Amino acid sequence: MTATLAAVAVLVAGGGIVAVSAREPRLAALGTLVVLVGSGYVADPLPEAVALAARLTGAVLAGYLIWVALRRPGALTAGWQIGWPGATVIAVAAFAAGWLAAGALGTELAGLTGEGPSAAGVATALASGSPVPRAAIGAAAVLIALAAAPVLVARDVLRMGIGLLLLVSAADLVRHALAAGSDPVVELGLAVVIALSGAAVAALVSASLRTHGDLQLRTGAGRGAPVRHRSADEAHPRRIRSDDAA
Amino acid sequence: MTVLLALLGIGALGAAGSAWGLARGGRAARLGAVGGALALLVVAILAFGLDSAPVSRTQPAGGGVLDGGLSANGYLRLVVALWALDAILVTFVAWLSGGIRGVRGLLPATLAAIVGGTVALAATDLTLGAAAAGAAGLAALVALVAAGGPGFVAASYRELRISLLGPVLLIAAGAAAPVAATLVLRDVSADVNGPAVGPGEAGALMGLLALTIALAIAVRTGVIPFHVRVPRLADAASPLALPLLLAWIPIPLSVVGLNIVDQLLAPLALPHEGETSLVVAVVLFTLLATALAAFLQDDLRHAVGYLVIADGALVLLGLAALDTAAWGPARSWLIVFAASKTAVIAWSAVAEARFETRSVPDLRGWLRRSPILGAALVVATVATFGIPGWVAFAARGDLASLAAGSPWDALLILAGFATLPTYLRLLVLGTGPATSAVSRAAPERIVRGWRPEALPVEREGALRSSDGGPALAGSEGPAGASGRGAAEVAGDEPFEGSQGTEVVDRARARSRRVLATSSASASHAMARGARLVGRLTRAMRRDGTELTAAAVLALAILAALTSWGALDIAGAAAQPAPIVAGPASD
Repeated sequence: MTATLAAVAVLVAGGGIVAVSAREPRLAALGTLVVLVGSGYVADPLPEAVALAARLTGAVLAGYLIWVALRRPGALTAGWQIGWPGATVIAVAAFAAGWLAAGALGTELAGLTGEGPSAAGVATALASGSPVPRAAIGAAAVLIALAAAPVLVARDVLRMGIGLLLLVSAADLVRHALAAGSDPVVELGLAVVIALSGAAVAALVSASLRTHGDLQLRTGAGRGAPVRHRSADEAHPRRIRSDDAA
Repeated sequence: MTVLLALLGIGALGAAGSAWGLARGGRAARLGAVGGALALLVVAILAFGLDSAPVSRTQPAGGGVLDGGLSANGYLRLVVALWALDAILVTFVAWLSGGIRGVRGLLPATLAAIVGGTVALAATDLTLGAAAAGAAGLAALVALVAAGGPGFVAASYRELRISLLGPVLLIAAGAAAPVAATLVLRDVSADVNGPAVGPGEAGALMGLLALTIALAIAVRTGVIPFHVRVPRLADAASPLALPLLLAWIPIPLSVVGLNIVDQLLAPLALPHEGETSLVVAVVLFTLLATALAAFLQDDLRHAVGYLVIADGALVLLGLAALDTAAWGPARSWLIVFAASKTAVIAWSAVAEARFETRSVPDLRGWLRRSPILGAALVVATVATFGIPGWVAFAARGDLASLAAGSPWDALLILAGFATLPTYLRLLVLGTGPATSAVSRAAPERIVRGWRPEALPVEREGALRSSDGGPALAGSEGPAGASGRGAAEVAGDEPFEGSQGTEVVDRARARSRRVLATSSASASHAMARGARLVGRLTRAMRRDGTELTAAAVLALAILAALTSWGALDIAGAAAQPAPIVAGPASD
């Protein structure tokens, strides 16, 4: 079972590579869906069935909404300029770094279990040497490394949204790896937030396509400050009313 | 606990219903607006009915709502009640200013944010609280997308980014903090086999986590260097949506961040002078720079945006202190911040709408034409700074003294007052000779009886009603004249000129058809109800100038009461967070 869960973590990392490097928007959405669905399952012990079902529902809903938003024509994304080979190299390096760091942390915690006031119950799976939390930290590192560029510097609405969803999944993976267990209410809350986040990304993509016809971000249009750009005949700007026109 | 569940359910239903209805227009929009307004009213009432008892740290598992996932407390009660009251007034102003179109986006976004904020403040788990704070932040997109206009995509893009980045940082920090604390305790505890050692690398990790939490809140509140978002948001959003976007939505995230510090970082009492100094320096620079920017800025929305940033930066002092004693003052300041900034932003929005300009110089003389608005700004200014003995004043001092030692605390307090000249500038400007923009605006005066709202309009070919009925007056009277009740009930917007006449014709024809086809008694009752609502609507629109100013004054008074410390705000803010005891909170 643990090997399967660790394999899911690798699958999540692969989904992240596809999500940020694909030039076909729907392929990127598919990669995002894999990440959102898989990240809820990389946990040792696994959450309750109800919690897992909620996470699955939230993730599928988020992915579906993005998929639907990309039906409009003009939904083209440039992908990542380094392409999938570059993204894969970054992902491998990040996964190795995360795995090793988690291993070192687990070793530190293993010597503490049951000795301190806070030792018991903190990252128990990691301290016990399970590969699942290590894989979770590795996958989280991959998602953070891949999402950093789209979130911070991308001028593409879809890429930024996908990057944010990857970061949400990364935070979830870190939580699964370091927490003692998972509360079904928390999982339910996270499922709702993931679904809402997907809906928000879909709404933004849809608004961009409707307004500009593509996914490129245009910031200049928002600077309509009447003070800075006022022409001579607008010394006393007022709206034209219907009775004025008459 | 059923009250909390009812509040969440009604708020969520109201948000969904009003979003659905208001997006469609016509009758659905009216139903959506009424339903949303009723939901807001019920939420406010239910908020006052929430349990205000302090949460026990040893709350048994299974207590509270959703198997102990949520728990009401006094702070939650105060925040939600004040938020809902402010939202009711802001929504009323938006309706008076723009009709149903004015509340499209604002009403569902407010309700959704209140629901998300309630979950965040009631959550007994830090992850759930952070996730709910993110959901509350996403409500900003509802308001922005509904507003449309140029730049709304870019503004939504930025809001989405900070709405999700903040919770992500908090969830990661909340998960890592117990592990780091465990390692710190190992390092500092006296080992039986040797002497105690310092916190070491784990201590540095704790400092990094503190900075991460501060970063999440700084991005949300727009502290320099993350301030660029705020003026652009002010350009893109509806002015009356700004209280929600800038003042209220940051509260849940800030409270969760303070919660992590109070529960997981501060109890260790580690020396983090470097991290504290960094945050204090950022806050000090933000206070001075935004105060200067607000004073020099000629765009009213931008100036008010900088005022909001300046006050929001003070929240970071509660984090910089890394002291459990900062928990109460920081949460007190958050309420004061939200209430006072709501009043100031609402003043700005009403002034902009009334004088039809965003240019501060063009507002010269505004106070002469709008004494009620002037009183509102004075009260809001007092609420912002407080006076000795008030909660706001004490919170400023406490946060400064806890975050920095002498003499830096005095400098922080003084810097906190650096925005005062901007308020004084706006007030002094209002006493000068009126500009043409101010002169042509409707003055504030209560007039009993009929008041003309538009010039008479002649309309050729419209002397007879559309259904071939008797001739109407060749020269249509001004909007708001008697006999227009049904028409005003039917329409969303105030009447203006020929468009208003057509609406009157249509409404009269509709009224006749209704009267002809319905049974006599039912139609009579409906007609009476419609006339009553019409008269009320007409009266409110007739005195809209005064009512909007009065609503802003009410917001300012609410802010002043908050700043004073009504309803034991300081006590409620000092209550422990509803985080139940567990491995993560040891």
